[in-house]
Amino acid sequence: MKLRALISLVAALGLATPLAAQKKVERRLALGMEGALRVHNMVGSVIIHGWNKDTVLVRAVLADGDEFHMGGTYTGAKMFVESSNDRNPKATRLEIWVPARVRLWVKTATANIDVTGVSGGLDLYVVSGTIDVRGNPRELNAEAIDGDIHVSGSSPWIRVKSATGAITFRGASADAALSTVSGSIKVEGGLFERAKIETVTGNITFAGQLDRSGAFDFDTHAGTVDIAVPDKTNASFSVVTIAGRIDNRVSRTRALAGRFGRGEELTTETGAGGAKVNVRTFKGPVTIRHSP
Amino acid sequence: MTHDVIRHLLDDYVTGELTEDARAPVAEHIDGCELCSAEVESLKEILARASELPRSIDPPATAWSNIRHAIEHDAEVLRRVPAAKTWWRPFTAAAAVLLVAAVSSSATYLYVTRDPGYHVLAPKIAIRPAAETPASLAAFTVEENNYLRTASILQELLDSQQGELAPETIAQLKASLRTIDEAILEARNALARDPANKILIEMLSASYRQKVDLLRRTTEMTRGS
Amino acid sequence: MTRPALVSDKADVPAEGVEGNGLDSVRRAQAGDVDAFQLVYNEHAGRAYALCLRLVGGDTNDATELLQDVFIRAWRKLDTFRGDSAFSSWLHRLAVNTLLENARTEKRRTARVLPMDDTSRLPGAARASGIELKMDMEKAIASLPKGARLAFVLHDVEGYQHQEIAAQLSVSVGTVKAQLHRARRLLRERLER
Repeated sequence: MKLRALISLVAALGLATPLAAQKKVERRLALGMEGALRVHNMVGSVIIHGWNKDTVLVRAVLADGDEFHMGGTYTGAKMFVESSNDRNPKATRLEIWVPARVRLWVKTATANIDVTGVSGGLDLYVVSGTIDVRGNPRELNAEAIDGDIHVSGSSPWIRVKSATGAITFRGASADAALSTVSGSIKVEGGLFERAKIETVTGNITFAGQLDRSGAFDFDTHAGTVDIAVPDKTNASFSVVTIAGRIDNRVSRTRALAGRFGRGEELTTETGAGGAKVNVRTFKGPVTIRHSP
Repeated sequence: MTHDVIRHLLDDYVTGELTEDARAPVAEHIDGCELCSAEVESLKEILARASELPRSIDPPATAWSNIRHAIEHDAEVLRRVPAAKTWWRPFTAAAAVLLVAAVSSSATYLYVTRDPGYHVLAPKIAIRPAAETPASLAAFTVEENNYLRTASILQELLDSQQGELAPETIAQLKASLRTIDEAILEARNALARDPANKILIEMLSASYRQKVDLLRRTTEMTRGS
Repeated sequence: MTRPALVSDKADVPAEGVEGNGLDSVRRAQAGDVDAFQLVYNEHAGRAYALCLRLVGGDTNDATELLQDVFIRAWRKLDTFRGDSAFSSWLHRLAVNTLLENARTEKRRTARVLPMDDTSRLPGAARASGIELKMDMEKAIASLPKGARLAFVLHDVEGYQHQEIAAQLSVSVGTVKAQLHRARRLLRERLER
């Protein structure tokens, strides 16, 4: 098949594939090691790597007709894609190298965001793309409407929200708040000092370590809550469910029937007590167990 | 080193801030110099006295009541709406606002009546009378102005087919709102049977808060930057 | 990951069994709970007042006003406390900032020099043992010129580093050291009388 015909066929199918007309752009800009950078890319992907230079390097793959813009000063820079057709923007692939300690702000609509090796501050917003973060930012705020969010690494301060997307977090944090409506939330790995995890119907799985002086809140309306703590954990648990069931596998304490014979309540301790764990569900079942 | 140089280094010597290389000659000089060793002694004594000072001194008893008065009447307290960074919202006993929610198919309206004895939080938006006897006189704080405003913004957004959100996203969003509304309804019904249940009240308020947060986030996402 | 020092200073941690975990009260206060803020006040006011008293130069009225300003500001800015330092450190920084800002806006707040024989203005100091010694020391600190007094109180009493103090006072490290040097010399003279 002739190339032209192929391109027309691809275009007719409405696919934004590499075979469609594209152009590549490479740009550099000096940016201080702790400078601020704003990135907009509605459709496609944004891939970010932290590095040790006070320079931003961008390699962009744009649809023909789209324009890439970047500008700014040594302390703050901005980049965005100007689409030739706002009503039906084509995908752009932005691969960006940034000073590792950057203060980074990224907003997309359906473009996925992938960040590796940034130790500065991250503010990431998608509507229905996915967000992937690997590394140890000093601060992370990630929000999606129906995108999934995956974080692998540690950060002292984390705020992650999605509505229908799933959240997974593998790492440690001093202060983490994760929230969804129907997406599941899965946490595993490191040491937490403060965590607030809430869903409306999403299932919650937590398998992290509880700092002895920490405070942990798990709230859901109808999601299941599964909390697995290491053997030697020192924690006090306070679990209440209005209409659900509690399965306690960490101590001999039995759950008491709730008010009006519905639901259950449980107060128990492991080790010498310490970390305060509060679990509240309306009807979601709760399981507290030891991690294998 | 001469005495003239060393006497300027005595502070650092006493507080241990001299480098290893400098320490030895200074110490040696001090051994043989009356002036400097007297100075070192009195410096040490000053620092010792400073560290013995009481770390804590009771303030006058009136201080707290003045502080409390100021913050309770502080206009900023009244406008204390949750930023994205404040997640924990327990209930203060000071508020006495009635909340009754009825759920319609595409949107939720809050019917609010106000206990006449309560002055601080005044809903600025017109209030429809409750459709049924209020479930309970509960004491909790909700950002109902915020809720009503963002609810109506999103209503417009959802209604307009030219909205910036893709149809699939709008569908997901509506589904999320319905999920939250169902949770609100269930909690409300349970509260009607058990009006004094603080935990239920907290859950209900958490659901309202999540709904407001979702609406707010969505409107912010679709707004240009 | 290095654990951020949420509670770095042992003196700030309430003893076991004391009502509420200190950080718990801060969280609740952050959410608008005034009663929880009172617990925070109870826990931190003593140290904050001692700092305020020494920073303002011994006048209890000035110190009380400063303390009140500090806690009112702390309430308003509680959202900005993220737990990445001990709460008392955050509060103390706020106290120094408040002092400096008040000084900028109110010119009448010049350092007041206490008459050396006026012992009535330092409550609390008398509670400690070795009354004579400590009252002399408090009075002597109060009599220092402002720059020297701030440097001495922050470094030799409160234990902050030169760089931290320089950043807070917006001066160079060299200036801080010079002020310290001056403060210690003056204190020596006044205490030896």
